[in-house]
Amino acid sequence: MIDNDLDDVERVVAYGMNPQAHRYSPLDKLNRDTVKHLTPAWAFSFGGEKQRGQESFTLVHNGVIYVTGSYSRMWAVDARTGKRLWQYEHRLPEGIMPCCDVVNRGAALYDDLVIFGTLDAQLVALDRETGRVRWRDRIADFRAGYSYTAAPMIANDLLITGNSGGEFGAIGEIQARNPRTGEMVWRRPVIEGHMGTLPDGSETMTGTLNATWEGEAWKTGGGAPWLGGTYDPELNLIYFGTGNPAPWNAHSRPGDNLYSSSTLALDADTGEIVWHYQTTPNDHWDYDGVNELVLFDMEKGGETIKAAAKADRNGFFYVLNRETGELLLAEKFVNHVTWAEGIDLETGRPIETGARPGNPAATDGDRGESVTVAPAFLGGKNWNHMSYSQRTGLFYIPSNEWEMEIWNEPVTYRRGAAFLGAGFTIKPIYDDKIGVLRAMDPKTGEIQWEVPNRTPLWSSILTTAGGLVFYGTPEGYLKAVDDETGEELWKFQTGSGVVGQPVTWTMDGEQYVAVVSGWGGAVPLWGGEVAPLVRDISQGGMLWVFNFPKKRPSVGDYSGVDGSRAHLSTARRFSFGKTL
Amino acid sequence: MDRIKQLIAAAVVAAALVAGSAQAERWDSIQQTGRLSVALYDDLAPYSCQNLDGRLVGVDLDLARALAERLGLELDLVPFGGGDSMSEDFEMLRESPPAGEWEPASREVAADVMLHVPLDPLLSERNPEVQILAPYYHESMAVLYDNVALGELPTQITDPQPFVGHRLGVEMYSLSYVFLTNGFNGQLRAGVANHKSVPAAVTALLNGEVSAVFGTRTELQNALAAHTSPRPGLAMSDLGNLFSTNRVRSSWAVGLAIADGNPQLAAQLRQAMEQLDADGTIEDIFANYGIPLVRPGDLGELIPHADGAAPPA
Repeated sequence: MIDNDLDDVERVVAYGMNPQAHRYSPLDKLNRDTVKHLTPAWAFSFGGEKQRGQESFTLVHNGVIYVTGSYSRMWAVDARTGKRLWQYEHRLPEGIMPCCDVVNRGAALYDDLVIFGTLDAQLVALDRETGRVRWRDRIADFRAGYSYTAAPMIANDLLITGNSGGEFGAIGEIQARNPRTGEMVWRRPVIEGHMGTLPDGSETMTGTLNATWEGEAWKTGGGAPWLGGTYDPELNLIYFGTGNPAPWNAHSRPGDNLYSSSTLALDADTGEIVWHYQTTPNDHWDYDGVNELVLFDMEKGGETIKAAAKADRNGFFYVLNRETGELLLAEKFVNHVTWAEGIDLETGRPIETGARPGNPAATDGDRGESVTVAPAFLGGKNWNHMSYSQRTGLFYIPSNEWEMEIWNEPVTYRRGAAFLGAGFTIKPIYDDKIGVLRAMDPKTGEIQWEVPNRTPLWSSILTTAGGLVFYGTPEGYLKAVDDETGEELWKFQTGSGVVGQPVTWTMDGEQYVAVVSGWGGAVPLWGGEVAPLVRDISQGGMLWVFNFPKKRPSVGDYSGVDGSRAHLSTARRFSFGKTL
Repeated sequence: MDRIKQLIAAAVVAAALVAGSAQAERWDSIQQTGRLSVALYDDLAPYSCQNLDGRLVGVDLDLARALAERLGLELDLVPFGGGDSMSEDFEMLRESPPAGEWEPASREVAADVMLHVPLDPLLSERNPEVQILAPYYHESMAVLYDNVALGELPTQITDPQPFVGHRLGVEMYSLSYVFLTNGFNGQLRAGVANHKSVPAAVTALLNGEVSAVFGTRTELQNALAAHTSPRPGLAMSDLGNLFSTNRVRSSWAVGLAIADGNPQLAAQLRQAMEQLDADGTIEDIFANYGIPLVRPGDLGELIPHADGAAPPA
C-alpha cells in the first residue's frame, strides 16, 4: 500500500503530489534565495523515433523514477544516476484515434505494481522491479473511438480510471478495479440514460432517462472524463470532470445534456453519483469540463469550509463545497470571457450573453453567421494542472488568453458528399502574450499577480514551501518564480517545449526537481492562428532532473551579494503570514 | 493578428509560386513514366474502402483501373483519409512545400487525378487551384422506407410530416443527421437513431428497428443490395429539396479533379471517361455494386421506385 506514504517527502507516489491534487511540496531547502543554484543532475532521453508531446507526471519511490512517454511507453530510471532500469513499449494497433496528440500523463503505484493506460484504451500493470506485464485489461474498444491518456488514480484501495474519445459516439465512463488483478469492481457511465454496474453486479441508471436529452441523443452523448480525478479519503468521494457533449453542434441536442461538461462527486464504494455541478449546460463551444477539482480547506469567517476549486475551460474559476457541490464563488480567471457575463450564485447557472453559433440547417448565404467567442475551445485553462499552495493559500493557474471564431459552412463537401459543417479557428487576443500564469485568491476571486508568456502555457504548476512556483513553457524553459510576486528567480532551457508536470522530492538529504521536456499536445494540432507561433519548436523526449551541484558554494554565498534581499524576503514572508 | 494573417498569406503565395514554376504539363510526365497516380478515399464504402484483407475495393477503384487501362497506363493508387472538408483533400493533388514537423508528411509526388469530386460552382470557386471535370454519375439525397409503417410516399418528398413520430436511421453526424436533428423545428429530432454507417442503418430497417433510413441514393442502394432477400415493403424516394438551405444542394454530379493548368491531361481524361461511358463500362461497374447508374444528364429519372428493391443484375 502506498496510500499511507503521501506525506513522505522522499517519495512522489500520487499524481498531483497528493489525492487532493495540490501539487504542493512542504520542502523548503530549495527556496527563493537558493533556487538560483539549481543545476541539472542528469537527463534521460526517451530515445527512438517516437517524440511528440511529453506530458507525464514523474513518480518517485525507493530511489526509482517511473515516467511515461508519448506512444504509450514507460521507463523505470535510477533516480540518483539516471540509469535506465527497464523500459516498456506498448505495441499499439493500427487505427488508434487520439484526438489531441499521442501523449500519456503518468502512472499509478500500488504494492509492487506500476499501472498505466495506453492509447488503445488498455490498462497495463507492470512489475515495478522488472517491468514485466502482470495483468492487462481493456477500458474500452479503441475501434469504437476510445483511447486513454490520463494517469490512473488509486483511491479507496481501488484503481480508478476515466476514458478518452470524443468522436463516433464514445460515451464517458468512470471505472474502478481491483488494482492487484484488474478485476472490475464498479463502472459508472457519465451520460444520463446509460446503465452503470455496482460492486454486487446489479445495475442502476445514471440520471433520469430523457430528463436533459431529447430522443436518443444520449446514446452517443460524449462526456469522456479523460483527465482523471481527485479523492477525499475522509468523505470517501471521488471527483471527476466530464467532457463536452457530442455532437459539437448543440442544435442537435437541446437540454442541459447531463452530465456533460460537469464535475461529479462519486461514492468511492459504489460509483454512484452523489452530487454534480455542471459548468457549461448545453455546451456549444467545446468547453470540456474535465479540468481537475483541487480539494482544499478554506478558512473563512472563523470557519473551515471543506472546499474545492476548478479553473474551467470556459474561463471561470469555481469554488464549491466538496461535500454538497454547493457553489461558493465563480469569477473569471482570464480577461476575456464573452460567452457568459457571469455565474448566478443562487442557481449556479451561467448568465449567457447569447454568443451561440447559429443553426446550420437554417443558415443563409455562403458562410452563415459567424460568432467570435472567448475563451477559445482550448480553454482559459486546458488539462495542465493548477497548484494550490498550502503556504500562501493561493491557486496558481496556467491560463491562456485566446478567442475563437465559429461559423456554419452551408456548402461543405466532405468525402465527396454534401455536408453541413462548422468552421472554427483559434485566434490570439493580445499581440505579445497568450499564456498568463496567475495567482488567484480563492476567497475573493482576485488575481494577486500575473506573469505573461508569448505562447500558450501547457505545463502543470508545482508550488513549494520554499516560496517557489515551478512551471514550464513551450519555449523550452523550466522556470521558478516567487509565489508572492511572480518575480522570475530561475530558469533552465531544456531543448524542447515543456508541457509536462514538475515534481520535487528529497533524496540523500538533498532536494530534487524533475520534469519531462518534449513539445506537443493539442496546440500544434488544433491551434489555428496560434499554430504558426509554435511551428518552429523542436520536438523532444527527455526527463530532466535537477538539484544543487555536488560541489556547492558555501552557505554564505546564498545570501552573497544580495544579502539585503534575503533579509527583505524574510520580512516579507513574515508580514505575509499575518495578512492571511 | 493581422500580421500573422499576412505572414500566412505570404507563405501560401510563395508556396504557390514555387509549385507553379516547377510545374510543367502533367500529361507529359505521365507519358514519360507510363503511370497514372489516382487519389482515392480509403474509407468511403462502396466507392473505395478496405476489404477484410486490407485491400482497397469499390466502385471508384474499379473505375480507376478502367481509366488507366483505357489510357494505356499503369495505375498507382494513392489512398487517403478524408479531411473535414474537401478543400483539405485537394492537397492530394499538390506537391507539398517542405512541411513542418506537425504537418502531414510531404508527398514526393502529387497524385495526377482524384476521384469522387462533386461538381459545384462554389466548391470550384473556393479551390481555384484544381479543375473539376468529367462527371461520371449523379448523386442525390434519398430515403429508403418501410411502406407499411409509413404508407406509400411520393417519389419526391417535400414535406417532413410523414416521418413525424417514427424512428429514423442515419449515419452518425452525416448531412441527414444534421438536417433531421436541426431542421423542421425539431419535429423529427426525437426519432433520430444514429448508426455507424448507412449499411448498419439499413440493417436496422430490415430488422424493423427503424421506419426509414436517410442517406445518399447510391449508399442506400448499395447497402440494400448486400442483403440477398430484402424484405418486401421497402420503397425509396428522392428528397428533392427537403434537405436544403438556399445553398446546400440535395443532389450533385460527381467527377474527377486534377491540378489546374493541365489542359492536355484534362482532355485525355475527358475523352477516356466518355469512352468508358459510351461502351457501358461505367454502368457495369456501378451495377456490380447494386447501383443503377444515373448519368449526370439524366435528371429526369433520378430515383427508380425501389419497391422490393432487387437491384438490376
